[in-house]
Amino acid sequence: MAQAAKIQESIEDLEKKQEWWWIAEKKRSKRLDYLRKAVWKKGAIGGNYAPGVKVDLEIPVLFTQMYNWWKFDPPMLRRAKANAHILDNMTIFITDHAQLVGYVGTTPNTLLWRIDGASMVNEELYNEPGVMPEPEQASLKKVADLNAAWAGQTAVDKVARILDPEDAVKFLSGAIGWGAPTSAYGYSGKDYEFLFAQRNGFLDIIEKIDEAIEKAEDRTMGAPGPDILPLYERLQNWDAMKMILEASIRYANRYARLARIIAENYETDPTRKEELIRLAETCEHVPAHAPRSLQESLQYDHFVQVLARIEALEGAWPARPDYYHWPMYHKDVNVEKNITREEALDLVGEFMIRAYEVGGFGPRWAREGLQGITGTWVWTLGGVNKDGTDACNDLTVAFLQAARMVRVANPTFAFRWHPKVADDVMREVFECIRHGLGYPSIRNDPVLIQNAMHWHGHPLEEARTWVHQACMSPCPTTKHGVQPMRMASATANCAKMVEYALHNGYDFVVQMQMGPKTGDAAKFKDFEEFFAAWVKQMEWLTNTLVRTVNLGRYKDPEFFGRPFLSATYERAVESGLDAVSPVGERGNCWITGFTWVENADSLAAVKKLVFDDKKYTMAELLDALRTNWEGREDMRLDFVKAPKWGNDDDYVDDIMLRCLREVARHSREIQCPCGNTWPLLPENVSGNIHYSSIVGALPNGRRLGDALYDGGISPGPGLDKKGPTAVLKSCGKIDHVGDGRAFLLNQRLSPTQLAGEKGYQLWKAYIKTWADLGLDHVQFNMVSDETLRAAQRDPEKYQEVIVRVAGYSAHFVDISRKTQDNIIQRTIQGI
Amino acid sequence: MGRRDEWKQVQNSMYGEITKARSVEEREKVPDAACGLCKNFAENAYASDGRGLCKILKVGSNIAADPPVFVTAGEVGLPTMFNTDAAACAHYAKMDFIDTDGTEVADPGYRRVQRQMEGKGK
Amino acid sequence: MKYKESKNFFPYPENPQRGDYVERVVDPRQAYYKVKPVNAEDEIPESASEFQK
Repeated sequence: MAQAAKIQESIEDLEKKQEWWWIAEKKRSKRLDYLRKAVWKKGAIGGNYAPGVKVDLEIPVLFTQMYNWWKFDPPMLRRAKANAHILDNMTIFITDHAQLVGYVGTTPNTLLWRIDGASMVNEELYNEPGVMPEPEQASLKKVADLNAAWAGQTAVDKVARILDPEDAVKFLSGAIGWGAPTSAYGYSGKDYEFLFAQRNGFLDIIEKIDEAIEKAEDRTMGAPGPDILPLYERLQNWDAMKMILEASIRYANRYARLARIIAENYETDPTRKEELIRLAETCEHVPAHAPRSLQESLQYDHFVQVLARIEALEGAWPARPDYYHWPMYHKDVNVEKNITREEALDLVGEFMIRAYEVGGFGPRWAREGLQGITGTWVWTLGGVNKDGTDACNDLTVAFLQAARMVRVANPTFAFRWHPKVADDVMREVFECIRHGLGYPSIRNDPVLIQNAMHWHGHPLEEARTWVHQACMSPCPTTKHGVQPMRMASATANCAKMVEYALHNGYDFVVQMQMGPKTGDAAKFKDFEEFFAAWVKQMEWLTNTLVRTVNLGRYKDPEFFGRPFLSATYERAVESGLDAVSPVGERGNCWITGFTWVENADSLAAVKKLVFDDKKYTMAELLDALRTNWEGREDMRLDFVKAPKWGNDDDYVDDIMLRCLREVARHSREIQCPCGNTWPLLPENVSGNIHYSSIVGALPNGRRLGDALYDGGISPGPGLDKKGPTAVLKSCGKIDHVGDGRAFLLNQRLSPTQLAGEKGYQLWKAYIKTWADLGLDHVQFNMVSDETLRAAQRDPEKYQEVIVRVAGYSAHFVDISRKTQDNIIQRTIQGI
Repeated sequence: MGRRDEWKQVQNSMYGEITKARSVEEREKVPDAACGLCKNFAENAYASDGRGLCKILKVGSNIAADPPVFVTAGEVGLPTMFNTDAAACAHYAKMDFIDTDGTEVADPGYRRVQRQMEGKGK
Repeated sequence: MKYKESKNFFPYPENPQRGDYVERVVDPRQAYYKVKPVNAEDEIPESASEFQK
C-alpha cells in the first residue's frame, strides 16, 4: 500500500521530503529496479547475516577434493589445479534480466567460504547461527568433516606456528588489532595497466607466459649452473598461471553456453533472447580477448574480480572504473553510437549491483567492524591522467548518476578532487551526497599524489594512476606499484597506546600483560614522562602488528599461493614469481589506525587536570579508570570537558601533532618486506563499535562500553563545539603529506541547509576551505536526525536509507543500534 | 623456562582445542555448567569461534583433570571454550544474563552468539 | 530418472556422457537458471527442480 502510494507522488514532492530512495525507484529502468531488488544482501546486520543467506558448501568440497589429491605439488600449482576444478564444476547461474554474469557462490544467496584461510574462522562458521544450508544436520556434518581435514593446515595456522609465540598470543587476544595475515583474508590491487591500458586478454597473457617458459627452458636445458636453479620453481609457477587462465576462459564459456541454452530452449521474449545471445557473445570473447565494447569491458573487469575472489575472498575492491572503461564507453556511446546513454547507464548500474551482491563469510570481528557490508568496495573516480590533465569524463558522470538510481551501499565512491574539476562534475558529486548516499568521499588529489611519492617513492606518473587500495590509502595500478597483499592485520586499536601507558602495559580487559612495562604512571613526575611511556607503547604495538603482517606476507607464496592473481600481474608473468612475493614490488604498506583521536584527547586531559592544574592526582585518575568511573561522575565530567581535538585549540592540537610525528618517525624505522615504510592512516570503519567493550575507561572521559570516536581525525561526537571551520582548522594543522598516509574526516551536514543551488554553493565554499587547508579527505552524512530516528522506530519503511559510517557507507537498518546512535550523535555542522 | 617457551605454553593452550578434530556431537554439546555460561568467561575479541579467557583461572589450570588444577596467579588468563565442561570448576558462577542476539555488537563479556547457545539466553 | 532422460539435460558435443543439467529457481528475491556438469547416466536427485520447458 505504502509503495503504491509513493508511486503516485511526484518527484518534486518526494524531493521536498528528501525521500531519495523513492525517487530512485521512479527514475531507474525496469531492469535496474528488478536487479536491485533481486540482490541478497551479504553484509551483516550488526554482526549476524541476514535471514536466508547461507554459506556455500559446494566450493570448499570441490577445492578440498582436488587440493588433497595433488598434495605433492608445489603451492601455486596445487592451488591452480584445485581452483580450476572449482571453475569447471561449480554450479553457475544467470539471473533474469541480467546482462552481466559471474558470482563467487553457486546460488545468489550464498556466501563464499575460503576454507584454507584460517581454522578459527572455519570453526566460527560451524558455530554461526542461520548460515547452514538445509538440511542443517547434513550441512553440519559436512562442515565438521571439512574442518577436521583442514585443522592445523590453513594459511593462518601455518603462520602462527612460526610467528614468535608472544606475538601470536598477544595478536590473538584481539585487543590490539585485527585482520588475518594471509591472502585468504586480505585484498589485492589489480594491475589495470596490464589488463586494460595494455589491452591484454587472457590468451594474450598465455602467449607471454609461453614466451617466458621458452626462454627459461632454453636455460634450464642448457649449461648447468647456480643461476638456472631458481627457474625450476618458476616454470611450475608459469604452468600454474597458464592453467588457471585456461580454466577461467572455460568458466566464462560455461556462462555463454548457458545463455545460449536459455535463449534456444526456454526464453520466449524475443528482446530477452537477443540479450542472452549478446551475453553469450560477450562471455565467448572476454576474458579470452581484450574487450571491444562497454559490455565486454565491464564483464571482463567483473570476471577478473570474481576469479580473484574465488581464489582468495578479497576484503576490498580497488578499482578506477571511469578511467579504465572510458575507452569502450566512449566508443560505444559517443563514436560508433552502438548503444544509447540510457543503455550505458543500465550497464553501469548493473555493474555496481554485481559488485554489491558479492560476499564471503567473514569472522565476527570483521562483520562488527564493517557492519552492513562484506568488505570496503571503494571505487575511485575522477583524478588526473598520467600527464596531469583532468581525467573526469562522461563515464564519471554516468557512475555518479547510476549510483543515485541503484542506491547500493557498496560499492561506494571516492572522488579524486583537483582544482581543474569541471563544475558540472562537482554538481553530480554533490547530488550523490545530497541524496544521502554518504558518498563520494572527497580526496585531495594533488596532496595524495605527493603523499604517495613521499612515503613510498612512487614516481609521479605512477602515483597519478592511484586507486583506493581499501577505504582510504592510495595505491598505483602499475607493474611495480600495484599491491598484491594488503592484510587488515596492520590495523591497530590505537586507544590501547594510552591505555597501556596508564597501566604499565597491563590490559585489564583481556587480563594480560600486553605492552612493555613503562612504569607506574602514579609515579610520573611530569607530562613528558607520561608521553615518553606513550611513545614506547606506540612503538611496541605497531611493531607487534607489523611483524605479524610482514611474516604472513613473506610466507604467503609458500603457505597460500596466488596463481590467478599472478597471471594478471605483469611483473609476475615476466618473472614467474608469485605476485605476492615482495620481489618487484615497490611497497605500499600502511598501518590503519583505529581509535586514534582518543590518544590526543586523553593525553591532553591528563596534562591539563593532573600536571598543569593539579586538580587530580594521577593515582586518583588511575583508580577512577580501573573502577570505570564508578561513583565519580563529577570527576569524569571534568575529564570530558578538558580540551578536545577539533576545536582549533592548540593545547590539544599540538599534542595530536606530537603523537602523529612520533608515529611518522617510527614509520621510517619499521619496514615492509619490500623494504619500504609503514605510515599511519587514522580511520575506523565501525571498529569504534567493535572495540567499545575492549578498550577500558580513558581520561577523555569515556567509560568501558561507550562507543569510541567514529573515525580517523574526526572529533569525538558532540565534542566539536566551535563549528565546522574550527574542525577544518584543527585538521589543517596536520601535514597531510608528511605526518601520515591519509586522515579520515567525517562531517555531518544539514540536508535543509544544503538544499537547492544555495546549498551547492555553500558546499563548494566548504570544499575550497578544505582544499586550501591541505586536507586529504572528507566525507559527508547528509541525513536528518528526524529521518534516522524514524528509521529506528520503523525500519521496514526505511530499508533504503544509507549513511556514511566511516570509510564506507551502509544501509542504516543494517547497523547495530549502538552504531546508529553513534551516527546520530555526530554533530550536524552548519556551514 | 625462557621467554619463548613460556609463551609457547600459552599459545598451545589457546590453539590446542581449535586444531583438534571434533565430532558433530562434541561440537554441539553445551553442558549444563559450561564456561560460556559462567560470569568469569570473556569471549575472545579476535576469534569468535567460541574461545575465550577465564578471568579467574590462569594458564597452568586444568579443570578437566582429576582432580582439577586451579592456578590463580600469573599474567595470562586460562584460554577455554564456550562449551568446555565447567562442572568441576570451583570458580564457576552462572551468569544471570546472556545476550544471544548477534546483531547488537555487544560486550564479549556477556555475549554468546554461537548457534549452540540459542535458548540459553535471557 | 537419469539425467540423460530429462529434457533439461544438454550433453557436451565433445563428450555426450557428460553435460549440463539446467534448473529453474524462483527464490524469495529473484528468478534464475542454474546449471552444473553431471554424468548422463546418474540419477537425478529428489532435491533437483526438474521443470517443464
